[in-house]
Amino acid sequence: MRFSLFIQDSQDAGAAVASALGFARAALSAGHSIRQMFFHGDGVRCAGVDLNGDADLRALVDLADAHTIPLLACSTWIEKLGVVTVNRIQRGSLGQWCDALDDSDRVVSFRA
Amino acid sequence: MKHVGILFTQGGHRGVDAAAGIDAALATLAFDHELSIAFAGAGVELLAAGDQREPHTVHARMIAALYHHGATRLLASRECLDERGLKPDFAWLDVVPRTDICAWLGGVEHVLAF
Repeated sequence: MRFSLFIQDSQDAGAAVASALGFARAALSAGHSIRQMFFHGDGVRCAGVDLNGDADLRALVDLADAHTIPLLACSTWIEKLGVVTVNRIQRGSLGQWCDALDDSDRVVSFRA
Repeated sequence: MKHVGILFTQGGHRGVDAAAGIDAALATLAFDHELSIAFAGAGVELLAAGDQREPHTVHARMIAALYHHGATRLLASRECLDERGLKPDFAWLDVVPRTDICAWLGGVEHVLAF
């Protein structure tokens, strides 16, 4: 099955990132694939985090890199919340997210 | 194109969630996905219009606009409305038993919850 993950809260606002990491690891190890991870709303704050300071977020980004999974943060919300992007999470658009919906069997949302 | 469902379960006090859900709904429609929207739990509070300047009144207006932008169905849990004493009077809104919300969840291909 092909999943896309929708992450709606920042790494310090609860368990959204940790849950996404756990889900992604389990899904990949079970032979599923992940089409995209998209950070939206408060979740875009993850793009402004020094990965050395957050083990779960760093592990999620490393996992995405290892499996060439696009990691995108909504550019509109980045601007709206004034986030300065500092890590490997790329700016993306809701259009890219909507494309991923077409290619995914299931979307899983994560929030605090 | 997929049938996308957006489920609002948070009230107006979580302004980011409501705004993010409306953004996602508009993008979904713009990219020609079929969209339906449900309100349950505190999410039904987004259907209550208040003072013109209050953020949740703005959200209620934007949600109303989603129907005109092409959302195929908007539905709200009767029990959740009754618990809060809310009686939204919108022609485009189906007020349904909670069980119908569950059936709706089973009928859409992707669900985004806000």
